[in-house]
Amino acid sequence: MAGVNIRSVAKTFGETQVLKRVDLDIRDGEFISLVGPSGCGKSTLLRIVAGLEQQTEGHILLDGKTVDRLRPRDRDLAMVFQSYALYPHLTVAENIAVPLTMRRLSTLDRSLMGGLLPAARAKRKDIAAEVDKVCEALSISMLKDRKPAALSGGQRQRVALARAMVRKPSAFLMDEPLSNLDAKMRVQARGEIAALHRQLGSTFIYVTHDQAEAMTMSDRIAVMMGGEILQLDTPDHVYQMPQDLRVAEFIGSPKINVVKAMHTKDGVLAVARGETPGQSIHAAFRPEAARLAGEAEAPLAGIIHHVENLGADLFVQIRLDGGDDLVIVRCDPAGVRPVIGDRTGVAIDHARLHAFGPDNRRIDGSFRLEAAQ
Amino acid sequence: MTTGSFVTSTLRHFALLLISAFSLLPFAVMVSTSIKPADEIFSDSVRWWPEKLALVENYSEAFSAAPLMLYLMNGIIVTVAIFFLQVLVALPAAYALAKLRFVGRRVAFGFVLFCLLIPYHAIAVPLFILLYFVGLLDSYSALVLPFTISVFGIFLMRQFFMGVPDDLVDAARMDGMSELSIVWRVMLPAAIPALTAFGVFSVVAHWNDYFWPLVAVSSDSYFTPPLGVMAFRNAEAGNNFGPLMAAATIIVAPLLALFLLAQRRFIEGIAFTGIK
Ligand SMILES: Nc1ncnc2c1ncn2[C@@H]1O[C@H](COP(=O)(O)OP(=O)(O)OP(=O)(O)O)[C@@H](O)[C@H]1O
Ligand SMILES: [Mg+2]
Repeated sequence: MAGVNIRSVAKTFGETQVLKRVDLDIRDGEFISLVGPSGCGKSTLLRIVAGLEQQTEGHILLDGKTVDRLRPRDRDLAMVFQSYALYPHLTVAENIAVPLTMRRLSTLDRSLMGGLLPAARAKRKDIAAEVDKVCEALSISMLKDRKPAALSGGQRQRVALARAMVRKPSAFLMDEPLSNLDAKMRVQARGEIAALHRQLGSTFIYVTHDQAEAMTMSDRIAVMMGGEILQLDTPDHVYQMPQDLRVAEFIGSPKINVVKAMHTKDGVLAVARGETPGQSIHAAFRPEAARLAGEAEAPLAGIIHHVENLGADLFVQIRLDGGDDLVIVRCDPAGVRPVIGDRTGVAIDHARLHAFGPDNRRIDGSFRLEAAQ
Repeated sequence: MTTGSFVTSTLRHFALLLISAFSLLPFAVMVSTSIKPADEIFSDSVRWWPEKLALVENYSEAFSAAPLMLYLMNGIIVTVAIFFLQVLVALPAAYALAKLRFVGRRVAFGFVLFCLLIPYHAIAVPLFILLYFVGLLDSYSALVLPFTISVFGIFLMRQFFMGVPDDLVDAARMDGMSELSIVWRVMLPAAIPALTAFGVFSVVAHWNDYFWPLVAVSSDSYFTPPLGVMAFRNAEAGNNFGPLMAAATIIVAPLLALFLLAQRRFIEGIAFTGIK
């Protein structure tokens, strides 16, 4: 068990700066997701924590102690890779046993002679018992004698998980462990990993670019972009109180609606048309914070461009007047079905309206959106 | 199959057959001569199967006229020792060149490529002088040591290791393996096809090598098979080609057996490393 502290860690590869002084304090037993678009430096940060990559600046602390100079094997962490990285020439049981044999058996024990040493035999028996227990827990006991090539993607993922678990490390690092699974398996595995975390109580650092994975499993989410952590918060807060426009746009599906507006008077935003004199503000609202309404009472109006029926939800795309901007509104499929090509207004729940300044940062306060003058 | 592709495939196979017949011909002559009595070898009519079979005579003559078994043993000792030491050097070197990041890696690999261009005959004289001063001439060491570092082996294995995923190496590091354990426990098992290919190249080259053993050893207790055959020709037997060809056949046979055994893996290995 250990907390992980990342203290202003920076990383440059040659000329390009991949991480810009990242700070992150992860509590003991916490499930943290690092989420962000491809190439934002998530894997690099995780590999620095693991010790597989050396940071250019800053420190990593495990359980309060600096580990910058320790090799990966001495950091007491386990990692699950996106490609699972199972040893192709070893059976499932042998794969899972590797972390234990490499740590507990001496070189002599591991040699051919080892079979003759009673102490080594006893250790091997213990290891086999522990491997059995982990296989049991992940229900892969029947696969123990197979080689990785003879396993499905989901089975390989479990074996990789088992290999990480068997040593009871103080923290788990996972780099997109589900991205090679099909959609259905992914949902199932998501639940299993979350359950595993509750049961083990270890620290988990989970890298993903899938915001649904981050939202469903984590205690806290760190949203990364361009080598920085933009927001570190609980899933609820990240969704409901995004501190940055880029966070708001990254989290949530379908994407949050953003319209340009002018700050006219206190707490009132007027929708901007075309060129805006002075500084504009981004007004943002999620599809479920809006509804279709009469044009007269709504700040936004346009033509219904497309209707997406997902069964439980109906997402209506509206092309706003005076531009090509689309906004998406969630409707109840039980209600009146919108017709493509009709004109409609879009009314907004102002309690759930966010405003972001020109620097993309959140502007606190309550706002109303009004139609353009 | 369309008729067009049938015709081209027939033509292709015909051409291939022609080429293989051409390269098999000397072997056929060798085997055929090895079972003929002396008078038939020099008769003016060409025949593949002799009128009077001299198989037993020629082959027993081959074994009794020279210590052929000793030469074969020497050949095995030398080629196995060379291959073993080559692997011992080439695998860690190739791993470092393929998977480790260190200053001068590109330069080091450049040197490997450069050394590929140097035929060992070019450095035979300095090698000979070196061995003379160390006092190792005329020994097994003289036959083995100059070949322990095979740049071809390093190059071949490096190309193969480039294709091994980095994640596998990182997983091994997380699992607590040292870099050398990674070489022997992760990379070596993954590299069996490439190693087999390299093994065939190495064993064939050193089994057949005539030049270096001729330079390096003088007492016939260290003779390798090709030297042995030559000693045979110069012996009192004179121009007795029957036993000579019998000896040659015996010497080639292990290579053929080895190649047939390793054939599949050999082709896999070549295909894997992209050296085609
Ligand atoms: N060894 C390296 N040498 C040079 N640049 C690198 C190296 N490793 C990563 N990078 C660069 O660092 C940036 C961040 O890479 P990283 O793998 O951390 O992204 P990521 O957030 O994990 O993306 P993804 O979701 O695609 O996995 C990328 O632009 C990448 O090209
Ligand atoms: Mg990544």
